[in-house]
Parts: sequence; C-alpha cells; structure tokens
Amino acid sequence: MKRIYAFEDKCLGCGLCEVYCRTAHSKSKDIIKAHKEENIVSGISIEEIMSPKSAFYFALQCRHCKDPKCVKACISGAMYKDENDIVRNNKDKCVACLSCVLVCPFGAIKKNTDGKAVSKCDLCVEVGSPVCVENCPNEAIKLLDEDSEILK
Amino acid sequence: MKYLIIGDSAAGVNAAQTIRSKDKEGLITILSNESIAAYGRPLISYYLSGKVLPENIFYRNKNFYKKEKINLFLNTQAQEIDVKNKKVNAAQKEFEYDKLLIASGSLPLIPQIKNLKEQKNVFTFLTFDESRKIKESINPDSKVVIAGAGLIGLKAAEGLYGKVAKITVIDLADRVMASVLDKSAADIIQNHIEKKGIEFILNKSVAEVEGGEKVEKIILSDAKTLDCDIFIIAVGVRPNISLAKNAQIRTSKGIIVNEYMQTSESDIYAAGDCVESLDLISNESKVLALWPNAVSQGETAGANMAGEKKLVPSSFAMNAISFFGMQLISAGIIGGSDADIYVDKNGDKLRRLNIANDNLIGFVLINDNQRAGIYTALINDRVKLSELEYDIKLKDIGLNVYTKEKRRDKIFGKEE
Amino acid sequence: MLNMVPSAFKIIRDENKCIQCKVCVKQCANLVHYYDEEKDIVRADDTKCVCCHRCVVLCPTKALTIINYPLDYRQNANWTKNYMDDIYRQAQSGGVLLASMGNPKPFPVYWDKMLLNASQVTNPSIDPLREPMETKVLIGRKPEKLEYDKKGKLATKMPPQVELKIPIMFSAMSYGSISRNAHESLARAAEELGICYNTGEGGLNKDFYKYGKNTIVQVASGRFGVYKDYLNAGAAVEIKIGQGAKPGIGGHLPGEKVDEDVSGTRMIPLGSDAISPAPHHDIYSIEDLRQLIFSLKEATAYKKPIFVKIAAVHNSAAIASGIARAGADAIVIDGFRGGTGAAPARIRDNVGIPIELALASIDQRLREEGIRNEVSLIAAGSIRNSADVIKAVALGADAVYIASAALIAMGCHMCHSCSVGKCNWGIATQVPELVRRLNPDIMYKRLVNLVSAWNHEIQEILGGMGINAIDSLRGNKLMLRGIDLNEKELEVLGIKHAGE
Repeated sequence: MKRIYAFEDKCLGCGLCEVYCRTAHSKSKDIIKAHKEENIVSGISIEEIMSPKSAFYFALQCRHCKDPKCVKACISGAMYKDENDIVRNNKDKCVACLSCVLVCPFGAIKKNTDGKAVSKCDLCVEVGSPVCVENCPNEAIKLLDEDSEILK
Repeated sequence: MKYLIIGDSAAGVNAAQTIRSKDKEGLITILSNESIAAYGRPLISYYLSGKVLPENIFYRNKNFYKKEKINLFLNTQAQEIDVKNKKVNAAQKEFEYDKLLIASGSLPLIPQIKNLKEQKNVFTFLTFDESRKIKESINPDSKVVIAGAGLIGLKAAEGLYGKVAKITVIDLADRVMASVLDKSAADIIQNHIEKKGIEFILNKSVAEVEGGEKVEKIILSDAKTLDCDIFIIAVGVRPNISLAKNAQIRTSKGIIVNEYMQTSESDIYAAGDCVESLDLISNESKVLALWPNAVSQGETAGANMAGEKKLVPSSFAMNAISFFGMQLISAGIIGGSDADIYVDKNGDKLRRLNIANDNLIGFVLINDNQRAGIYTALINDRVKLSELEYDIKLKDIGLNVYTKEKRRDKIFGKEE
Repeated sequence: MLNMVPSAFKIIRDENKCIQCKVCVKQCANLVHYYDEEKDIVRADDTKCVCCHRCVVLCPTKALTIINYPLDYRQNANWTKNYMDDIYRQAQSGGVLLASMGNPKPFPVYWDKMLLNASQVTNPSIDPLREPMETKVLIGRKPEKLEYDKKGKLATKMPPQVELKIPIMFSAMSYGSISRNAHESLARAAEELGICYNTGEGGLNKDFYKYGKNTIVQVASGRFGVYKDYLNAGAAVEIKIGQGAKPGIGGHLPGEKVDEDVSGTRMIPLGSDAISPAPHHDIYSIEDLRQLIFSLKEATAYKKPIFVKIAAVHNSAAIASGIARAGADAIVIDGFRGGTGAAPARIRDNVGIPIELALASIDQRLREEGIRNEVSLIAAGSIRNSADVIKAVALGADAVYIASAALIAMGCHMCHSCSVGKCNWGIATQVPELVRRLNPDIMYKRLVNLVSAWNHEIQEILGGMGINAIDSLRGNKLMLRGIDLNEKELEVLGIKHAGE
C-alpha cells in the first residue's frame, strides 16, 4: 500500500503540513475558519531533533502499521483498519481512553482538544490525496509505495 | 472444520475473525453468556454515565457476525467440556468442535462480608448487564457505596457521578489504584476525584452488611456505619477457569497455555483474561488481564487453530484510563527495590519513570501523555537507554530519542 | 551607540487572515517574526526585515505583505535617503559598506533600449514548431579556414570546443558563496539542458566531478582548490581576472563560512578566511596571462578550451584583443550589473560599464583586427530574459552567462543580503537548517524549466526574423534598432536608430 514518508534531510520544519491537515479535517474546509473557529488537532506534527550541529525536523504521522497496536488496544472498536489497510478512527465510537496513545510506538496519535476522541492521520481518504504531501514546499513528505526505491 | 469459541469478548471475537481470515469455509461458533453481542467492556462505565449511547457500545459493526459467517449464541452459558468426545454442553445443547477456544474471561472477586447474600441492591461491575441493572436501580437520592478503589471501582464511581446523591469508595489499601500506582501518583488521582464530591474511606474494608431484601447499612472494619442504597463490589477479578479445571485442563491461577495459546489438551486453546501469560518484564507467568493482551492472544489462538504456527507476542501490564478528565497512563512495573525512580511532578501533571539496569521498566503519566507510546515501546523492545540519543528523563520525548538510522528504519517501516 | 538608521521595511499582517500557525516565525532566519504566547498573536520586528519574502510566500493565508518603510526625510534631491542612511551606518561602524547582488542604481539598461526585427513579406518568417531551429553553439577558437582531404574528410585540426545545446550557461558562483544544494541544482540542470555551469573560484567538491562535461572550472587569484584533477574535471577552464560587480578588487569569504566541506573543497584550513587577492600575483601583463593560459593548456593536454573572464571596464576592447592574442579560446565579459555574494557597495555601484556597450565594442574591435574567429565571446552581467539573450547574440556574443536569473528561479528575491549568510531561501548560506530548504530535486527542475522556456522563446524570435540557427544571428546588428539613444550610444553599439 502507499504510505506517507517523511524525509529529515528535506524538512524545513515550517509546519505547513499541520496547517493543511487541520484545514482538510475541518468542517468548513476553509483555512481561516478552520483555525479561527474550529479547534482541530493535526494528524501530522513536526518533530524537532536537536543535534549538536543543527536542528533537524521531520513530519510525523500515523504509519498505518501492518499489525497496528492501536487497533488491538482500542477498547471501543473505534480504531480499525479499513478495506484499504488504512488505520482509521471512528470518532463516534472513540471515548478517548488513550489506549492507542499508550501503545503507538511512534507517538503519532494525539488526544483531540475536545477530549472526546483522538486524532490521527487518515491519509486524507475523504479528501482524495494527502494534503500534507501536496502542500509541502520542499517535497519532504512523499506518498510512496512501501517498496519504493527511495526508501532503500 | 468446526471451531467453537467460549466467550464473546476481545479474545473470542478476534480469534473468530482471525480464523475466518484464514479458513473461509470452516464453521465458527461463539457461545456467549451475555445478552448482547461483544462490546467494549471498559465502556460500561460510559454507558452508565450516558457518555456512550447503547448503539455505540458494540465492539464490531452490526453485520460483523453475518459478514464473517460466525454463529453467535447469546445467553448460552457453557457448562461442561467433554474433552473425549469433543463436545461442549451449554444451555441444554451440545456443541461439537474440532478446535475449541476457551475465552471465558474473568469473574468478579467477592470478598468475605458478613450477611452478604444476593441482595437486590448488590452489584458487581464487569458486564453490560450489571451496568444496565445499576442504571435501572439508581435514583437521584441514592447513596452508593463502592467496595474497591481500583480501576473498576473508580470507573463505577465516575459512571454514577451526578446521577446519585452520594458516592463513597472504600478500600483496604492506603491509596486508590494500589496495584497500579504509588502513593504520590495515587494522591493526585484521589484529590482530583474528591474535588467532585466523591468520598474515600481508605485503610478500611467492609466487614458486614445489614438489611433485609436490600442492603441498607454497611459496617466497616472500624465499626463505623454507612447508609447504603446501592452496594457495588469492585474489589478485583479472578480468571474464570472452572470449565477448564473441571475438564482436567492444566490450570494454576489461570489456564496454562504454551506460546501458541494451546492448553494441555492439544485441540483446546485458551486466550484472554482467563489464561496466564509470560510477563516480559518480570519473566514470570502471570494473569495479565488486559484488553490488548486479550486481542493479541485471541488472534494468536485463532491463527493456530486454523493451522498456522504463530507465536504469541510477549506482554506486560499497561493501562490507559481517565477519571473526570484526568488522564492516567501507566505501564510496566510501578516500583521495585533496584529501580531508579525519576519523578517529574508539576501540579496535576506527573511523569514517573522506573529505570533498572539501563532499561525502562515502567512509567506513570498523569495528564502528560501525548508520547506515552514511545515509553511503552522502550519497555517492549527492551531498549538499552544508554544507546539512545538523549536522556529520556528530559521532556518532549519522541522518536527523536532514537539515532537517525534507527528512526529512519522505524519511519520507513523496516522494522515491521 | 544610538542607531540612527531607520527600518528599511514595514511588515503588515492582516489579523483577519493570520491564523497564528507560526510558519513565518519558524521560517525567518532573521528572527523578524515572533510569537507572543500571552496574547496568542504573531508579531514582527520590522528593523530586522530584509524583504526576502520567505514569510510572504510561505504564509498559507497570504496574511503578510511587506512595504518600504513609510518614513520620509525632508525632501532633498541631493541628500537622498540612501546616501544619508549610508552615512549613518558608516558613522556608526567606521567600515566599508558591503553590498550583495548586482548594481541596483538607475543607470540606463541598454537591453531595454534596443528593439528586434522581424520578417515581413520579403523574406519569410519560420515556424519553429514545424521546422528545425538550431540553438546549439560551439564555444572555442575557430580555425581561419577549413581544409578537406581528397575524400572530402575534414583535414583541419579543430581546436577544443565546448558544445552548448542552448547558448546559455550558469555563471560562476562558488560553493561557499552559495550552498551545496544550490550548487548541485545548477550542476544537475546544466547536465539535463546540455549546457555548462561554472564552479566559481571555490574549487570542486569530489561529489560533483560526475557533472564534469557540463562544468567549467574556474581559476581565480586565490587559486582555491586548483590542481591537476580539478583542471581536467571540467569541459573548459576559466581564468577569472575580474568580476562585473567588483572590478579591480579581490574577494573575501569569511572564516565562519569555511566549514569542513568548504575547507576540503577549497583546500584551505577549516575556519580560515579565504582571501582572493585583487590581482593574480603572477599576471602583470598580457604576456604573463599568455603564460598562465598555456600552463593550463599544458596541464589539460590542449584538450580543454581556456576562457578568460574580465569585468567590463573602460578599455575592454583593447584588453580583449590582448586576451585573444594571448591564446584564450573564449573571453567572458562581465558587465557592471553582474551580481556578487559580497562587494564594497561603492565599488559595486560605481565601477565598470554596461555589458551591452562593452560587448558591442569588443566584437567590433576583434572584427576590425581580423581575429574575431580566434575567440568566442560570452556576455555576462544581468541577462534577465530571452530577449536579452537574443540581443546579446546580435551584439556579438556566442553565448551568455546567467547567474542572478538562475538564483531567482531557485527562490532568490533579490533582498541583497547574501553577505550576511542567513539566506532564507537556502541559496547564499552554509547554515544547515537553511541549506536544507533548497531541495535540489525541485530546484534543478525549475532551472531546467527556466532555460527551456527561454530557449523556446529564442526559437520563436529567431523564426520571426527568418533565421533558423542562432549562429546566423551572431553579430548581426542589423537585427537591432536603438530607441531613445543618442548618436554616440548608437555608434558604440553599432546599431541604427529605430525608423532608420
């Protein structure tokens, strides 16, 4: 399956991926309204790595694991792997117990600000293609097949 | 091939689903002693409070059993396993099997309390039916007494909050959640819950109950008395192993299984809260009654029943739970004499790490939890802390604790 | 000391649009934008802004704009704001004012005062989409005549040439003055376009040797990183005598930009200042230049053309004649608008002459002396578009060098702050976080796009003139007409006035 991969040596740490992720997952789909009127937690987040010579950044989001620990840990059946192998969270069922946060080895799941559900990358299935990839100004986030040459 | 599964919760459902993914034709039957299809068991407190609607409590979609061709028998208590003839007697019926899975879960622990019979207003808090009965029994004037300040007792208290007049929680230990938390962490939780008006009586136990058809008074070990309209027993659980035991299957505290979840009878498997499994940290055989553990074991049992050879992943204690918006996440061992304990406490926030022999062996996070999974992975993968890029005691732990190469391997999925 | 220099720019943030995403905060290396956590708003310190537009371009809601700081001095046609601010600066620092990129003063731009011809009726124009259109050029000394043997095979031994598919090259920008990623983008683009880029005087990193046939290696007065392998790594060797932005003076790369990689490439100690002397200390005459040219030819077994680059100055024509006679295969003339990573502002803004005039006069002089065939002419110093290229060729150039245009294609917004080393676009910097902002995978494509687009336009313009090869346009001044030019200017350019 195709997954999103982040490249540290290209990431600017600008955070535009987060902005577009929030917008795409807002009700209004309007960048300004999404940020000023809705309170959305991005499914992608910029991680900063301080190294002695310079700061590095990379964009972290759900890896859509083959054998997802979050799905196993989910007590409500809200977290599931859909027919396209995308790990998704059904917000109606999620009770934000954070069992998924407890087991995600990437730290890629976050509690939503409303406290009612968790937020994670859904590969923008409802939008079409991942907006973080499309809007990354430096092609530091790519949607690739898992056997893609670049990853070797 | 006939697959029979006793128990319709995390282990049973996942076993059935795994079997179906590998054997499209086999006959899969699940026997459940409950009245509704599998539900998120921990959600019964949310059901009680009304936070989760009845239709959202189900663990799988409505058409799950139909789609996966699983025959589900509700209200069907398995009574006996006939190992010789490969049959299970349940609700005056016989169910044949080629492969059997016992996923019978836990039963509530009932302490020795004088005069405690099956009074009408005495409940446990382990099933949806119990939760529903409690919901039907309470009214705004009810005085509720909960025996046990563990996870179940506190969740029951939260579920009842605002719906009854008074809630009192009693525990023999000096703190809440004594099996999971040390005193300092427990105090944060206790203070938070007390602010909501819930009363705690610690270092005491319930000695006696008074009343007729209903319990009306609770008498504590120090002879103090409490008025009581609803009495909930939540002192703990024990593995439900009587079926296995009666069938001469090897048991100890729980059912004994090998790494394929196979019992001492080769065609009988067991999974979930009723079995003992190897604790990754202590390397001891323990009953680890954890939802994710039950799911993994169910999947492993299912795969092996369907003819694959699959090893069960190792496990260790872990919990994620919230009380009135306060989030508690813990894993591994909470104390230990040789552990180096690091505590970072700031008001309502707490981060407590237990480190031994260059390994993280346990942690408690209160309201500081976004990256809990990184800690869990450090425990699970037995990562040597000295090989990490920086000290995990620092704040803001993330994938950045790993070296660049390691992080790349993780992100690029090379460790899957 | 009281700083009397006012802010140059003012940042205007539309609060209705700002979503506090802090992209501007994270992207400004000059630390202009900052987040006020208490008030939950993003603020800006105007005084630090260099107007590079990084924030403006990346702002997802387009909430930002930058304007000239609206502070007027009492009106004075002589003591203008620029000159007064410079005085405040120097009174405070006591130092030479540094500037970057090309001369920004409002001197005449002759490209904009020349118009091109097109065919009407008497000779047909050509449609380059339907008919072949040659833009390939060969750079190098051409023989006086060609001789063939009895079988019709070429008997004349051709001197070494550099073949360019498009008569445009990327001008010298050293690794050190620009980032490794910028350097890589230029090299990869040159390879894909079938043209050349120029190493500049900073030597050549081993990783870039693979682009050799599209590389021109430079030998400048500092001789940084020059050795046998380097000389033979490229398609040609360029001796840099002068640079349009700073004729007559040397260069200075501060030690803090000399990191491990730069030091290895330049073959100088880590952290040491890289000083290029004003003259080559072994060249004090045309004869000395001839010695260096032939030393380099010896070192490269006479297989590589040797270019000599000079700044366009008052007597360029005579100098060019000398260079041609000294054995150079090509002469590069760099006009006074050419860019630089750093130059004294007074020199950048006041020394040198326009490329258009220098080019025309050199071409004319070499023709008059009958030695035009002995060298190729390469025009440099602010070629801004395909029309400038065409006009340069018509004035006598074999090819042009572009640098500022290439940098703009990669994101440069002409903020003229290269010398500070904090280029927000990852071009003129060695700061790793900033260098990473320039992804060669993207930028080389933008360079390829730019030059390919210009090439299409060149072909269209040539076709319109009824010409099917760029070689036929070279020095064809009849294709140019001046507008708004005086007699002397027309005479130097060697063109007629429009209407004539």
